[in-house]
Amino acid sequence: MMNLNPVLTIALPLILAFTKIMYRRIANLFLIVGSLINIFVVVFLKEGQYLMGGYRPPFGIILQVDTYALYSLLVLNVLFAALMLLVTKKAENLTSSSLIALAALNGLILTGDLFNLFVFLEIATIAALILVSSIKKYHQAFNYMVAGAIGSTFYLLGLGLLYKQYGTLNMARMHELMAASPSGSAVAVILIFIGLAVEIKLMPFSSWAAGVLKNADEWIGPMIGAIYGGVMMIVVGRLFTDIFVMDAKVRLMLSLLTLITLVGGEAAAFQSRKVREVLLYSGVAQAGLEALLILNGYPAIGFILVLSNMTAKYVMFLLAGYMAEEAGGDDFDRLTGVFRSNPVHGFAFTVAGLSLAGLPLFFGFIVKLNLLYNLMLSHSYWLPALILSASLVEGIYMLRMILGLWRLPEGHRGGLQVRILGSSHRRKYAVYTISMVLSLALILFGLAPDNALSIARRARGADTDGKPLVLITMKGGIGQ
Amino acid sequence: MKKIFVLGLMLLLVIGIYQLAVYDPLHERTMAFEDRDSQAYLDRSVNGDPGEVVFGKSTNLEDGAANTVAAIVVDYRSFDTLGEVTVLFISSLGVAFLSGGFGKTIRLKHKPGFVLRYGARFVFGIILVFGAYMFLHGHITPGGGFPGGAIIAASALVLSLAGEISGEKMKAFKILEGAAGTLYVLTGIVGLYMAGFFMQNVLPSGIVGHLFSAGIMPLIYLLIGLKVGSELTGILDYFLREEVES
Amino acid sequence: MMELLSLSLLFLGIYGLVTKHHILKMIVSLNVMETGLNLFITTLGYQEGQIAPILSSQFPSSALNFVDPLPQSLVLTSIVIGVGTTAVALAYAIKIFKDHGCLDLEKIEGRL
Repeated sequence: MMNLNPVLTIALPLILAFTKIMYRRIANLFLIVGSLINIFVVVFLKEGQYLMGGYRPPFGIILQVDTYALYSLLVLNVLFAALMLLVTKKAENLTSSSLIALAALNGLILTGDLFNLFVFLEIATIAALILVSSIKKYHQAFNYMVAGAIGSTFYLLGLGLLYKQYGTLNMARMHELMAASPSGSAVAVILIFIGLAVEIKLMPFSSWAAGVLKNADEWIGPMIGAIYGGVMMIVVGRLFTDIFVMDAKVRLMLSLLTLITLVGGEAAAFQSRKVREVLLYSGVAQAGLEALLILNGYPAIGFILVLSNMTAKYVMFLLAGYMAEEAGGDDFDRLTGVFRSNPVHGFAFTVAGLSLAGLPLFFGFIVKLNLLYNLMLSHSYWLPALILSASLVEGIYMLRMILGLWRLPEGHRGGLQVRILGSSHRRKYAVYTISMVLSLALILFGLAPDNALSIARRARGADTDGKPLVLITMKGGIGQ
Repeated sequence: MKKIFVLGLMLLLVIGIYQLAVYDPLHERTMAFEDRDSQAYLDRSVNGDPGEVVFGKSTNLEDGAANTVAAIVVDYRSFDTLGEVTVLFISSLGVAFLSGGFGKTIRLKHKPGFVLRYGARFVFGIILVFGAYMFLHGHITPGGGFPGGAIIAASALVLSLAGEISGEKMKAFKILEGAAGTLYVLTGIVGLYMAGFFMQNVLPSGIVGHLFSAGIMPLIYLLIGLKVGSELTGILDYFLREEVES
Repeated sequence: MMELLSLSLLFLGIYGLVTKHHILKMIVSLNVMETGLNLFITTLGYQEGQIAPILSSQFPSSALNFVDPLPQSLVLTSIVIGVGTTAVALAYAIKIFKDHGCLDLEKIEGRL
């Protein structure tokens, strides 16, 4: 077996992005080849810690590949490559930005250093800004930029305070020191959480997401709504379970923020009458739920929820973007019956939606069932009650939307005659294949969930000897 | 009303953060400087203790730069710097994308006179040499690739104010930018396959304080300087074109 | 004292970002905020009486009392990132001005 260095998943897209300036003609080829090579590299990755520049861990920067990073990378790179295959035409002018976004997202998942994380966060944000500006809503993009800048300022402020107190930037070393003396780090941890809350769209800081995603096309929607949101949540999962040690008060404070998001997001989604708005607010609510689980000690289920939601939202945003483009808008009224003429898309959309809402037979259901079971076992009742009612609301509006899109409009015979992607055959079948494969994957995992759950447990260290790699193979340190 | 509320909130945050996390008169919650990770950078003792490092005498250190900040930026934490260069690269791409790229020509509002044109050519060379000095000496004295690149961009700004920069020259800058970036990543990959670690210093590190010391550091600073210089020049150029067109 | 001043600068910048709706003023606030942050991080590595972390013929030995070099190099990175963000923000400002004819975010959002 080959043993590839994970830095290649960052370095190769960067090289392609830098050289692309000189070869403008074959930009698309660069993009597709780059994202496919990345999948190949990820498949051959081995777990372990990889040093940069040959300097020992707490001093040099490291990349860490553990089960958590490995599966996150796999999902990220597959979804990214699929998206790039679909939207090559639109991505033509933004090849370099897309490649750099891919490198930064890989870096966010891999890095084992808190300041390096900040650098990748900034690259990812600026890349996202440029991608977002392709939908030509510049003042919304400007709002996103301001929110992102405030977020990263808070992150760096918190990081500075942590450095002042613990004198290190390495994640594993930080965890050791924090576990030894957690006093006084609360302010820094809260600042960092607020900084990341902008990116994962928690409620008081998520107004930018509404502006950007309301107008998202089939490219920006999956990219910002699903891939970016998912990766940022994976980062939060890493930081707030493996690295930071919080006391109960801080945990409660941050949990309140996520609860507000969960309730507010579901309410906003319930009121909305537009497909993309429903999706985006349900995404916000789901982000609240995921962060709630991560903060309150259910990281394994949180992880699996992040990945499944990422896939489901990806499919839905993709199809919603195409529908809005073909029908010239995404009101429910305008799109009534659109799936009658596009049954395959309808099927994929339905599966993803039902899985997102957590209905039986789909992957989301298994996740939520597991979650409720675990919560009941640990004798906490307010959390399951809240999650159940949120799921109920989500199920209602999701079903309402999906049924509306299948139902025959009054006065029409054969349904709305909008063909999603009637123009190009090749792209039509590509959309068919990708959305079908992903939604079938959701069903498949829904029918046989044991594997996924055990992987998630291994990744998040619920079993005794399955601790995340970042904490067990810590080498070096000041004393050694 | 809103403004007063926000101002009060900000005041509260400042005082709160200062009181809870910064103000620490007895140094109970501040890690002493000697215990911080950065002490190892000062002693050059990350991978083994070399003893006291003396300027002009110590040889074959793990990092042979006299300037410790430069040693951290380009050697110990070189990976961050790659990210930093990428940030500049992508923002120059973003400016290019938003302003619609080349095609428009600069028409200055003023007509550059004789003194401006020839003066600009004269000053251009001097500024350029100073920028090059900045990044070639970055590992010994304060300075380095980023300020050096900014100075080079300033020299290009002088030229374009005198109306001397054409589209072809900008195209050359673009190629320089791409090539420098690619070479930077390639140096990293050379380190990976020659020495085992990405961005490892593969050249001998020499005597502290000499011009030819610190292994690949001067080389990397050269690449960074060229890249930053051409990127900032590109950004300036886009803004100049933009101004005239509207 | 330096810490308090730089923190005030930082939150002054955020105050400007929250209350102003003229885009150029917001960009200026953004820069004030970044400057405050950079100053704050630099102060974390400073104690009185320590010297700049550069070996030279005047300060030739690593046994001398240097300031903490790591915050300085972090600030170097963060300054460059700030430059990039500002450039993109200014490009947005030009684009918004072309689209709407004004730079007041409240007016623009009210008109849409």
